[in-house]
Amino acid sequence: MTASASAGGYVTSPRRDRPCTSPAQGLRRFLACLAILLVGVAGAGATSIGFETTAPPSPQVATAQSPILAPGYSTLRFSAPEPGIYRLPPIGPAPDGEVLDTGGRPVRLHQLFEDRFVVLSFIYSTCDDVNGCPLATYVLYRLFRTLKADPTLASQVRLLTLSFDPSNDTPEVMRLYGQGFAKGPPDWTFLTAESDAALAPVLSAYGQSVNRILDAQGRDSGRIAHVLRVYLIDRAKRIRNIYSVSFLHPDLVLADLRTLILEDRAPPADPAGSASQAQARPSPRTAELLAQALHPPLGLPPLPAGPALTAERIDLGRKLFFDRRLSANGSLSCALCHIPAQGFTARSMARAVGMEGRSLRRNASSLYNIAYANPLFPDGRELGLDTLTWQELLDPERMGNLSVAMALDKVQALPDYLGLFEAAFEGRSAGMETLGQAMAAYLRTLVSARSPFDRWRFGGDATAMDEAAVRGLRLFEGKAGCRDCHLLAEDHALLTDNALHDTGIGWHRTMGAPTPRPVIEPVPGIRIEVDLAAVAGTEERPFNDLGRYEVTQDPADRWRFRTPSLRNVAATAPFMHDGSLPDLAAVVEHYNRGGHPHPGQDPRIRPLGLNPDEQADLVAFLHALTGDNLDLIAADAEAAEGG
Amino acid sequence: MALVFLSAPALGDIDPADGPGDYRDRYEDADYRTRSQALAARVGQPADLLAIAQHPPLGLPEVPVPADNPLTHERIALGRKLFYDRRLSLNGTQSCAMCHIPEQGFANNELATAVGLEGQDVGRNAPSLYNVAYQTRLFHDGRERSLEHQAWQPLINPIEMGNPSIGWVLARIKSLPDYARLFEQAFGGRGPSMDTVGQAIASYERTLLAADSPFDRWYYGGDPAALGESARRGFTLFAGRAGCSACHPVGVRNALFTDQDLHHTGVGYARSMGGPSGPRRVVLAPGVFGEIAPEVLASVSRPATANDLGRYRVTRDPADRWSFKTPSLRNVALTAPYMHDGSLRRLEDVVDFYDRGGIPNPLLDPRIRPLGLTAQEKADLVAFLESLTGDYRRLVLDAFAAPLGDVGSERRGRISRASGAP
Repeated sequence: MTASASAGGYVTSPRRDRPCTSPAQGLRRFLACLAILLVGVAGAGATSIGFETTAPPSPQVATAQSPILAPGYSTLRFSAPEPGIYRLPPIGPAPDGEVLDTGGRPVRLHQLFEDRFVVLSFIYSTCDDVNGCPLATYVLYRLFRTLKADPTLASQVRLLTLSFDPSNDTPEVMRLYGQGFAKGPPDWTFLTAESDAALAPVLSAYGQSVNRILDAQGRDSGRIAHVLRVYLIDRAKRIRNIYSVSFLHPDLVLADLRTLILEDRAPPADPAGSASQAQARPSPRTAELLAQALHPPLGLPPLPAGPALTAERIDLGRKLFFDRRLSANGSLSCALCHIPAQGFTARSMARAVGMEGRSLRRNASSLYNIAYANPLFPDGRELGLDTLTWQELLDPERMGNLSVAMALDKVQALPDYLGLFEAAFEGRSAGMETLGQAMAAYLRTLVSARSPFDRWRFGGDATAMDEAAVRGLRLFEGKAGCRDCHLLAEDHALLTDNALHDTGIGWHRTMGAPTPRPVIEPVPGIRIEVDLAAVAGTEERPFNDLGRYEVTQDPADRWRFRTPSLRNVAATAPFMHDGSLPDLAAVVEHYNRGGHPHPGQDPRIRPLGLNPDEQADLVAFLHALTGDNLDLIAADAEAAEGG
Repeated sequence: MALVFLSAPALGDIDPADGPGDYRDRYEDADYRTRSQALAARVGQPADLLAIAQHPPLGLPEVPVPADNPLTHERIALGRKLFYDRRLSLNGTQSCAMCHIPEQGFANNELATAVGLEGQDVGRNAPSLYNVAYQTRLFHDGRERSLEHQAWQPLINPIEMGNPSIGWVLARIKSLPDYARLFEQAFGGRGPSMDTVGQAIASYERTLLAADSPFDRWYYGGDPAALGESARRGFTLFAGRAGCSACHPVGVRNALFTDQDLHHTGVGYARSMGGPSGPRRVVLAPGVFGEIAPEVLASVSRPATANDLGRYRVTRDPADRWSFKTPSLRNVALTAPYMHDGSLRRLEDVVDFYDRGGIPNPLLDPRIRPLGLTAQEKADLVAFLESLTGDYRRLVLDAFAAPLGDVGSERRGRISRASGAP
């Protein structure tokens, strides 16, 4: 039996023995199909019926009569993309459904998916289109071979081949069809269904349109018109790629599989999660975040009371935090100004940039330990993390939603949020309160302490801080008077008094004489003096930020801003409410100078007379306030989806 | 302006529309007399609002109520209290009712565009709240979909009630002793929150149903005597040649008189694109007019740069420029001035506007075209519109009975700095 003869015999012949349900007849058709499959293998330069070859395929075509073969049979004409350098956005949930295994036992698709990455193909065993079902089986076979050589990878993957012709492809036929391959790992499972009717919901759910072709007499010709589709499904049971004949190639599927595995490296935190419901992608770190929020690290007091923290709420809040789709035009997420890798602020910008490039007036506040901050925002206008979320969502300059409906409609329409709110909030759906509380849950977990200072002060580790930092702390508590507003308690330190003060920064911006020739740094390391007259008209428009006054309308509150915590301050440059001080040395210098003296300035801010060494010691101390879990928080955040 | 005291009113004897305030309908007429009454003369009478909502008056369908916010006496009463409470604004001066004035059609008859915190111009006419329960899109640009959510927008809009944040409003309510336990009682133990404040206010608003108008009694009630001849001719025009019912539909069993959709009538276009250039005739006092030069007007008006693009602002679809929501016409005689910007003073002006074919421009809704109505036909249309005034007195009298937030009992607009909480 040669490949070309088989091709000539079968490629164009329809199945004639109808109706037929016996295993023997099914087997005949199976063999017919196998022969077709061989066309591909032969075309690829292989000859063995047992598919034992691992020889690299070559692009030659078997015979002149053969159709043009799909790329999946030959070498990829381009390099498959390197795994992990691209993303496969979820296309939608991979539907469940009941099917039969080769033993005729009913089994649900989601059961078979288990916790694996799944490649699912739909075929019928007697398909005579070489670029149809045989291609799917051939490509899965090539995958099977590759996975066999990589047991680690193989253990995470399952191949599924489901017949959409249950009246002919009985469990026994599928057993015969698959018996040449199904010795795992990797697992390659062959499936059919009880009947066409039983299968219809599955086909419809996957968008597989299947039509039996009738002959001239209106009888079933045995051929089925269908469009080749192979589905790549992730561990959260979401479809991540759908391959058609032109792109179904083992190298591409493999690159995609490896990409998903890279994305999903760490194990899920909550193995008890419901299997059938759509879920926020379980983050590897949720359990750790929850634990640190419930038992804050050394140096922090217990978390202030708030709505119950659960893994579901944290996962949902994280998902919302990183979801750009929540903004008016789908371009901004919270994380674009509160960048996890940049101290949950934006280190490259003094002041944040909002909707469609609008310059905002203030620096994006770091979110570390925001659970302890009250009031919120530099002007203290907000009092709860749940309500703060809506402030951002509804701000025309920030996330830009003009109404609650604009934001909620999106969440309610997005399939990847299906059921998430209900699961996290005892059946309550997405609303102002549930959305705000989910976001608050995530924000409340961003606690960070156990810094060198905490270990030295509260942990009794005399070596935790170096000499300079210890000297800096003495100044901080003594001569420099920093602790008047950046409080230290007996057994913990928030390093803020959560009050609002006039430090001169806001006053200076509004009232101070402009520097005639400010120095700017257009590229790192190059500083130039700018003649303001020369750039008049190109600089940003001056603005007035009256701080707390804008909230209370009390003149005494002009230019008052909230004391930020100094925890992790070394990670959250630039500084002050307007980001006007680029580094800690500049901040120390500002206070050493006594701010910008004017009548409203807080009397505690006065010239300190610190020498350069003392200033350096203070900076060293501030560096000792960096918590030990920033990497954890950032890694958790990096695993989140962008939406 | 001196108040003109009518003879001592007895309950049921007065028209609650003649409430306190300078009622300026037909202000330009030389024989104008305000019908304002002293606050002391305002006598309220509570109504069973829940019963009104459960049995809407003739001409209205069943009230849609969200599954998670069933109407109860407690929620309605709490919402009513919030609605009239000035303490919910940043400086303690403004309640919802100050732009949605009960005796002025739950709108504001005196201002073309609403005035918010510290005199700021809100830019659009305060829409009437009568029958707002049926509206599927809220605000003139239709940007909000539920009353529960809608309630927050004026509260935190810096130019309306001016609260700096949602949390601020919640903290203020929690700090007011007269709200103690009210939320918990109305919401099964839940205190003031983003959801419950919206739900309470929405519950009250859902009860503001006014129908059983002369038209309803004639059309749906089968009472041939309920509607006069002129109004009947007006209805024939309304549903026929004038084409009004294309956007203000009348159903077989009931009528909302709105298609809940947004349309371009040219009013917004004219304001943005074609401002008047010559002197304008302005009423200075009843019967006294002056021709005022545009630059003089500009010196005392808000800048003409305010460009209200309507629905476009929400959808960013150029086809939606200057599209605004079709308002219901029920009780329209109570809710002057008209259009989203309050630019038309009387119903006669509105009928004239549509008779002219609106303001022709490329985006004009094709249904708006010159109608060629005679003076009599226009008067008939106005008579019909006036016949749409429903049974609103009980709602206004109920509003008079509502508790007003006691501003004097606390320091106005002062914020306790120590806690940051109001």
